[in-house]
Amino acid sequence: MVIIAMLAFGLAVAYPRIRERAFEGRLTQAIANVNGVTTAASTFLEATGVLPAEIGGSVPAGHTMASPGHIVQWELWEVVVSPDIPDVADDRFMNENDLPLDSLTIRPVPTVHAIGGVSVHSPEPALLAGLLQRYGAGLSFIRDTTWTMVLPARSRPRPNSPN
Amino acid sequence: MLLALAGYLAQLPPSWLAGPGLPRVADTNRGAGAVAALTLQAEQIRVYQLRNGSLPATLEVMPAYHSGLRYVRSNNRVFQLLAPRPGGGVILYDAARPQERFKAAAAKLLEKPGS
Repeated sequence: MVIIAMLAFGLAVAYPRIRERAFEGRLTQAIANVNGVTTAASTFLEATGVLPAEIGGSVPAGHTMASPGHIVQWELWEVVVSPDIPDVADDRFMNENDLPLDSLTIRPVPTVHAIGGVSVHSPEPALLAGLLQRYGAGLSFIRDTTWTMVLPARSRPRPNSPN
Repeated sequence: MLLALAGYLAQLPPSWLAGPGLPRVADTNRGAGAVAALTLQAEQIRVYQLRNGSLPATLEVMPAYHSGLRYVRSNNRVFQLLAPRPGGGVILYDAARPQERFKAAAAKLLEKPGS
């Protein structure tokens, strides 16, 4: 009985540290998976100029898309970019009489670019909070049971004509 | 005695024993997350509108959408998005008059010009 009591006391003292160690292991694995996905996406973008539609097959070895306690997902969104209207006061757009060039036609055409992101789905709020602390709230956010990070890189302009 | 102490330490560990504890998600983080999700979703709707000349009938027809958002189409050019606010209520995104916090989120996430 005394031995059981001592074991219980020791476990109660050690439990917080055990729990922290286990959590750090899960967080480390999640960070490694996120970095694997972002590396694969960056490599693909550098090689082709576009973001990949899927990551699954090109994630570096050791970085899985699903691990115990969380699932990592590659996301792809699109952004409308409106070009700047040229400043007609710029000398490049003026003729020798300080008048706008006849050929100057201001027709800003918005373009569509793809932006990528990584999401981690997990029922463990502490894991999501740990990812938010690690990557910062500037480019990542938490919603429900998902942490999402938007990558700053953009692809080349995409066709924005009707499908 | 030891068992009772072990039970007490397990339920209410002192700070020197519990340590800093696991990270937590604050309500402000969840609120910022809802704003970010609304901003991203609104941008996907704009892309759809640019490509198709009209707003989507529902969010599900778009290739990327966030679940849990409510989409309201006022006319063929203006829409609203609503997301639950942590602690109650809703956060509203009005495409006709987006609030400064959405412009700030767009500047951060989408590298769009801020307010």
